[in-house]
Amino acid sequence: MTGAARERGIGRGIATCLAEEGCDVAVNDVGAEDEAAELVAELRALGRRAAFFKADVADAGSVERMVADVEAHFGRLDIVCSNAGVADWQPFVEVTETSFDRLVSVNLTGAFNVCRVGAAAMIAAGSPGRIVVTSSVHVQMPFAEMSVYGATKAGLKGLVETLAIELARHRITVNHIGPGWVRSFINDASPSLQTENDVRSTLDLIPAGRPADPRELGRAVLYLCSEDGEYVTGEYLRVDGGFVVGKY
Amino acid sequence: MRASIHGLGAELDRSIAGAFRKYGHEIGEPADIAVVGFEPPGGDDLLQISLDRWEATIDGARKAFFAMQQAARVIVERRASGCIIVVVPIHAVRTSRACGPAAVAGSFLATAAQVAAVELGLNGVRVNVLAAGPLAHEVPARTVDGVPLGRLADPSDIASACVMLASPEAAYLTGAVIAVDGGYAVTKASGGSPFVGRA
Repeated sequence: MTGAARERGIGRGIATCLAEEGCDVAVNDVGAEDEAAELVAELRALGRRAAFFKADVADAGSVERMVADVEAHFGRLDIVCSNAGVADWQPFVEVTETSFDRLVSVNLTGAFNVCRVGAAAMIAAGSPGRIVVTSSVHVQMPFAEMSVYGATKAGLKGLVETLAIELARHRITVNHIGPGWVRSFINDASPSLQTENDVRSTLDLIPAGRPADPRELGRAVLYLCSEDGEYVTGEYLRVDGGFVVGKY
Repeated sequence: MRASIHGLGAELDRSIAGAFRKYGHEIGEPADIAVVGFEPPGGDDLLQISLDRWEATIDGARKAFFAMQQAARVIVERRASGCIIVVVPIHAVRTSRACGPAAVAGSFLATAAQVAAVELGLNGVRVNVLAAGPLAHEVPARTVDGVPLGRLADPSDIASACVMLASPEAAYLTGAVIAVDGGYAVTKASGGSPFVGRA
């Protein structure tokens, strides 16, 4: 699980749901060591093995070392959740190269590194596997001032669909999940969620009238990673309270 | 009007420039019409490609993104109306084995284009995506087996679509992704991906 440490994040929701159903969990994040330690303690309290592996997914070498460490620590790798992501908000004509490079290196190259290295490990071990990438509702409906974020998520769709075709013969399924609004750390800096009025306006756009609980994304990942999900690959499972299905 | 073309290979560049000139546009800056794209990265399975190939693909998408941005800025600053046409490989619409880099970069740019369309409509800038291919000079001959129209694309097919999108006939088109592909993307084909091992 990459990008898993933050308290209110989707990664933590996924890690918890997988652990509840019997998974040992390697918790990755680029920082947030204290939050990671809390999560590891909670997962161990569920009776699972868990440990924190700090690495920057944008760095292929770090990802390779991390996966090797995870295998050394836990044995066989069965599930890879490429969830680490960052966001930014800039009008299209003002997007800076710095912002572009940061989002692309983490969201897109990071996922490429994690999926590649994870898949190679599962293939080398000769075991079937599951890869789930956290994309976003942006793959179906991007938002103004989020051109690069939306673009990286659309890129993930291309990545997942291609990998699904290429890895099927190794009995590895590859899918992505599409969260809508989650009250996670990534959204704290969103310019459209700062005031109560902002929040109410956003809720007006969501048929379900509330943000997701990260566990709801976790249960979707669980389905895809379960035996029930063995014939599901190249798919996109949107969990967004109906946010992007209509015009109003 | 004046048109500029960025990042596409020589065949497409030549064909699009020729078609625009035939229509009556000039080629140059500052442009009212910008066509941007990237050269297709070679094909191999994603687990096989080198990190250099991945980085080169990202770099192509990056250059196209900022070419789009610069084109938009120019039109907006001149308070002109204009259009941007983003040409991406058809793999952005329907991928296959050994088309990962093209699919990733293509879908990346298509979505960036749609956000640009949303943001810039009131500034008089239309932004549309052409998902193009399979082009005869880029793909193995047997790719034609998967094309309902029974032939591979010629650069002139893409050029005509660019002329159309830049014309007053397309005045209400923005944020659209239009496949210029002879029907390639709406159906599967047997025989396995022709693109494997062409790294």
